[in-house]
Amino acid sequence: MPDVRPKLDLSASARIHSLDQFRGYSVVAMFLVNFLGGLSATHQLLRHNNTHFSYADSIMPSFIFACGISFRFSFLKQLSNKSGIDPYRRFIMRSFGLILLSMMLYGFNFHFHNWTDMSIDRLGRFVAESLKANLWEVLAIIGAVQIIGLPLVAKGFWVRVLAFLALGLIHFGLSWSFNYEFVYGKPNWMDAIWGTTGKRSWDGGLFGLLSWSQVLLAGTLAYDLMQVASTRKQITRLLLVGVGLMVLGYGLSCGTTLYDIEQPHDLDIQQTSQSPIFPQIRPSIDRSWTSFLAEPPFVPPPPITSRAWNYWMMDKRVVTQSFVFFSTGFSFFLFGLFVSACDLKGWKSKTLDMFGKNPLAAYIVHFWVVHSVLALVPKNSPMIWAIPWLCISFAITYLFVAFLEKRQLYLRI
Amino acid sequence: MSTSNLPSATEVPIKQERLVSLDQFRGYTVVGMLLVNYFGGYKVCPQVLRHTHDYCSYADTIMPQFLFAVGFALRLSFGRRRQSQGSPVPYTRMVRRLLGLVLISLVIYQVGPRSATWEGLVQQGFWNAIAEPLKRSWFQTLMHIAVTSLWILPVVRCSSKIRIGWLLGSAMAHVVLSYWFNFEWVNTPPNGIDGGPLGFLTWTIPALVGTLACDVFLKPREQLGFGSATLWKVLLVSWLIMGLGYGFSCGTRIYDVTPTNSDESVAPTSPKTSPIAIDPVWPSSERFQNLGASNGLPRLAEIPFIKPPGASQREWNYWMMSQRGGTLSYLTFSAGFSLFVYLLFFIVCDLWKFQLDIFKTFGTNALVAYILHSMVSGAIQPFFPKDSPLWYSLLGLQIFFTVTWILVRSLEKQGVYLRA
Repeated sequence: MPDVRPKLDLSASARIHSLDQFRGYSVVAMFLVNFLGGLSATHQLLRHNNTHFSYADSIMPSFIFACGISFRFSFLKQLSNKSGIDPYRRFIMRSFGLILLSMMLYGFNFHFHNWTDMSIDRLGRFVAESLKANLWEVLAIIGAVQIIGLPLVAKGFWVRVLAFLALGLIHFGLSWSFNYEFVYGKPNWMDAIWGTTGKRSWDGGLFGLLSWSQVLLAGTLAYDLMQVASTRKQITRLLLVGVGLMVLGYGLSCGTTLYDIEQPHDLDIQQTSQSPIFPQIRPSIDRSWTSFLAEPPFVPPPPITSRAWNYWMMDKRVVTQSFVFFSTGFSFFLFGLFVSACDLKGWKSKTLDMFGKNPLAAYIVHFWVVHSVLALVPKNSPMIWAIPWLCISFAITYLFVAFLEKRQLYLRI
Repeated sequence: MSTSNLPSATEVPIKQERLVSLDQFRGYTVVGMLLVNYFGGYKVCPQVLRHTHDYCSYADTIMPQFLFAVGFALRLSFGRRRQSQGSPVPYTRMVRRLLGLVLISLVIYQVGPRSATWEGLVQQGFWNAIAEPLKRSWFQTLMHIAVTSLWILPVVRCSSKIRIGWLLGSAMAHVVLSYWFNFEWVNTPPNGIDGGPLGFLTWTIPALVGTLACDVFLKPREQLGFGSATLWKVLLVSWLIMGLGYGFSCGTRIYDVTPTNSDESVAPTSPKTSPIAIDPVWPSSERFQNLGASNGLPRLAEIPFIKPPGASQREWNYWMMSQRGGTLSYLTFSAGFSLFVYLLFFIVCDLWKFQLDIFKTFGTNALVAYILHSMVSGAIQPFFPKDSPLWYSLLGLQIFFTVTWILVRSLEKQGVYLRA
């Protein structure tokens, strides 16, 4: 595809309605999984399991994917209005603003209890742990990947495709070198230097930013795929690319079957494989080809006694490449369906529209509301108790965001 | 403040000219809040910047100023809406907004898990699970503002006489309820905050003084010149109110511990763990007898901002200026003090046309600043232990202040103002 110049309306008031709806859907789904995800009675599909791709795992990629679409959209819009480095400066400031907001919202998970606790060593440990793990919550991740993606966002389609692949390769290489163990807090050379041995990360930690940058870039590519006059063509492109990426992601995840343990045992189990990237276990020659097919997404894999954890699983904690490809494809596909429903058939939900236009405000509000309401919902509560509180939590969040919308108060990412 | 010159029941003032002083006053109050809420917990913090619940410190002047500004703005906005929306609309609108503020309070004053397990929650029962937050955690500044505003709403458009009557009635009710149970209840663990659930009765004092101030300061500007009779009257009234509050606070001297009453009549025989007197509102006859023994001369309390002796020398009582107790003396004095401070802001900002950008930023987005400051403080304070030396504590304060300012300023730049 040639260097695509935008054909969508870039005027100040222009909005991609299907994108607002899609973003709104991601926000609402996030409410659901963030509320229910920590409860023991919740179905595995609504939890982050780090062993396979669940519905809960699809939310954050969808959100970042949507950020990618609007990133290119608004960046090109600013580029067409302003010259020089101004748009770059603005996006860098915004991105650092998001990181700052995230730090304030989540805190640092670190505490000096008294003055005698203060030492250069402990301060160093704090900085190292923050950079490795504590800092990287979703808002900070979005801020950071925008900065990573900034030199690429205005580049041509194929440049960004190559960047997508290159980022994946780098993540793969780093994971082979140290990052897989680094994320899981297992011994590795980087932790020895870093001084954070034993500290685990989530959502990929520092080097997971490379994978999330891929998702963001995929969003910018989706924007390009929509640069055709026919909505049907837009939908076809999005759905086809989505299916293709999902198949690729699933294909990569089949590597996990090389870690099947032929004689299940429960003694001296290591959670992760000794060699999580390149399997040391030689597959038996009498295995049928179907035995190399991994469980499909949304289906839990066998327990750890039957299969060691490895890089090929769709693992959100490490943000493995199988996870990136599949979740990106899933986002393309889902967005294609939204374009079909909204732009082609004219469907529109006011609720999704409201959340989609004010996602940052919705995120902050829901963060506080969920924490408040969950005080009355112990982790082992039955669903009959949890669901009404979920509804109350949603209703409160809805009221606040509706209040903001009524006054046209939008927080920009 | 002379009531004869105030607008009558239906003459709710319509703003003629923008009052810069109200935003600046509110901004100053937010800045003061940032200072005392962050710094107040540090060992090196001066006494006057802390809440100690037994006298009126600088820290204790902050919240009444919010209530004063709320009352002022409530009366002001009713004036505007009466013009544009007719009579019942402003009430329903305001009730809705204040209920929204109640909801915000429930959300931002977070409580920990009420029970670690479902079984524990069932055993505890729903009411017991929320009893503690209802008494303490949820009833903080925003909830007090919301409930107090709801309480004064029926009279906010009424004449000054009715509002003053409402103020006196509310204050009386607080004294009676405190005598009955409230003072001890609020000071018993889990301690209430800023007066507890019934604190709105005395928070009504600064709020309604704010509505009365609104009537005065919205007069035509030619009547409000520097050195005008009106401003002199406001100054006089503010000092009279402060004097009245101080007068109430002198009742605290009745609770001075003397060898006689501490050994025989008042002090319990077992070691006393609570600083509260057993008769905190209406002193026992023995105390009056002891007062007689001291020649019956009135004994003056320490002036505001001066810390009284400790509980071993003076038992805690309703007459001291206590923010936790929401006592009559405290809120009367601080209402007068708020009026005095506002008068200074009016002179400086509206008459002399001087203003600070930082007060504008915080004053026009006070609710957002309030919500954000606790979030920022929660993120910053873990790096600045409470026993840090002065330089390090001030560094933390500076970072906290700067980050809060950056966030509020960025919203201001985006044109995002949150007003409940």
